[in-house]
Amino acid sequence: MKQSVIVPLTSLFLVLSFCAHTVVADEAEDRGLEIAKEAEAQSQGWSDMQSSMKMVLRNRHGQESIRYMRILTLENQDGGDKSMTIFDRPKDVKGTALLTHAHINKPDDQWLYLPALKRVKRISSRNKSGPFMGSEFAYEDMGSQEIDKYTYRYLRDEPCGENWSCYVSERFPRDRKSGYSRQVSWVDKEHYRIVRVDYYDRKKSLLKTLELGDYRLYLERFWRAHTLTMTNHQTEKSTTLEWEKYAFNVGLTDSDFTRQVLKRAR
Amino acid sequence: MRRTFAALLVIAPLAASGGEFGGSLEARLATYPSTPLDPQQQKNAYSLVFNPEFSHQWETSSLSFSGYSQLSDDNSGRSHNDIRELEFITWGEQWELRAGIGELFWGSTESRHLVDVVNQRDGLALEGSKLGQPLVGLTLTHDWGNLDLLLLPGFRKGGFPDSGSRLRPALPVADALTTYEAEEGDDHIDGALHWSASLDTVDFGLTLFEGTQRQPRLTPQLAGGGPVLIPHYPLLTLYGLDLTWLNEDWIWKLEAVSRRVEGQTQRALTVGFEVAQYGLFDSSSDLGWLVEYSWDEGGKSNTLFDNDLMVGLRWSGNDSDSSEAMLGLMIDLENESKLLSLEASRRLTDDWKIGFSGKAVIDSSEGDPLLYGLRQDSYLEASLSYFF
Repeated sequence: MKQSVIVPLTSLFLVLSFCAHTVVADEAEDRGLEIAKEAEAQSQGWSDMQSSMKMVLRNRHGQESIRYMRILTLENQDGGDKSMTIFDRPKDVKGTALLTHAHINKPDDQWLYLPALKRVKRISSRNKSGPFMGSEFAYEDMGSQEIDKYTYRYLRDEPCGENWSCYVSERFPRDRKSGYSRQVSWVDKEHYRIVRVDYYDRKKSLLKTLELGDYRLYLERFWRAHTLTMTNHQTEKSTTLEWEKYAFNVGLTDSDFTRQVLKRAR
Repeated sequence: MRRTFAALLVIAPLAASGGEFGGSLEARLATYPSTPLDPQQQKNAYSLVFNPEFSHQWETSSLSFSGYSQLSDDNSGRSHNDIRELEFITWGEQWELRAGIGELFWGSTESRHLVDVVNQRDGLALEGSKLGQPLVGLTLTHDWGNLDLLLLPGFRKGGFPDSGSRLRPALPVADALTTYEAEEGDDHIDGALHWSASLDTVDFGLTLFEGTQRQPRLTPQLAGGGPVLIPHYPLLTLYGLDLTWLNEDWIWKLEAVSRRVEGQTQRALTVGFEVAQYGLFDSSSDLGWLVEYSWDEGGKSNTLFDNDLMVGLRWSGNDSDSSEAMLGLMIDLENESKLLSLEASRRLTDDWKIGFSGKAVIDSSEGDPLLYGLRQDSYLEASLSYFF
């Protein structure tokens, strides 16, 4: 008789403790997702954008090589954004241009224009973990960061950046082709500016750290970092992206993101 | 020469008003290790290639120029100049109008370009390079895709190297005796149409070409005291299909054409796939396999690709120097002919690039007359390019 009481009590205790645990875990996940959603909401609504970028690649001996490119982006709030990247330097790739039609639930459509051959080539966008232009940024770091591509978990509050109060949370890529097992990000509570991201490789060791700085405000709403440095801890190489010009609402439309326009992009 | 001068007349005032200059200068040195079939053929060949470029863009129009100037050994007959591009383009949201001299590419496959019929191949330059084509073109862009409509006034002959050169036909080509099926000769106005569209992961295009065929038929004849080849350019009606289909990591490609020449219809096909393995051995490099099968009703006297398989291996370092290499083997499925090709390049500094390329005829059958004629012409070429 006694046992019959004890057993249910024990199981009840087990069930309760399990529930408590999942509640805590769910809360952390909900909070993580909330932060990601709020960050996205804060950064949405800019419609279209034109910018140019300098990319400085540094090897472990500090030798630099420099790339220039221009990027046009059209926001699409229901789905994937459209973007066109035109390469200006190194000079041997001048005129090369990449057109991306991003999607949330399927791989992005991508076309590459090769000016020496005058050829537009459909390319596979599945090489997520590959380096972008030989840099420490992978294609997946450069692509559009849609909410549904990850699951989230809030970790803690911590000061970061310019004495800002920040959320620290982690996110886990849903895509098995991702080169990462998880990413830990520091985001400021006031404007949801990303200050730092740690990337962990598939073997769960720290691979890279991205640091974002020189935030400036556009259209009285949108904070944009002007310096992004990605450091690879395993190879000791680093890449800095320096954004040189941001222009919002320049009047780009879908017709600026076609394969025909890709051919005459210079 | 007159053309170059005319181009300068247009470019010079624009250059003064702004716009962008650029281009490249390239030095190439090729060595042919085998004894030539004809003792007057060179053992080594050099070339200097100058490719100046200029472009100017306004709000809804642009002007672009691309020149090609090649200086090679005197006895190869390969030195020549060409305007690859001198084109004015103007556009609206759903259309684009172009006029001038231009170059374009249609198609999807890698080893053979069946539907890429607009530009003449430059027979004196590097493989794959094309001569500028005089054209007037209208492109309409709609939800249903892209429609290119082209009028092509002025036919360009391909050009053949002199007897001192390697990689040439066995007999000298009497270019001055060239004949055309079209009454107007090289003044015949050709027309071309290309419709292309995307459906999810499939890109496809349809081509129609009506005009003088770019590839000449070479007929041996006695002229000027010896046997020569006389080029004849027949009229051609071509229908073509090109297709690219992305299926996960696989990219499937297909080109198929039906050509009507001198009352006969010939069909040809190239089909294959490309699949890449990313992040090879935990590095950042990729390895891609390329397999393409080609078939052509025209037979072995017209093409190397009558019933052949191409297997290629493409390596990309994805490093800051853009190191890449490609190895290809073409295998004739009816005889023992095999052709190996190699291409590799990397950047030395931001402005300099080095490259290697080569072809080796591993085995050639007399039943493959085009390849058999080149059996002693295996080569290795090194190139150094400066970009400005």
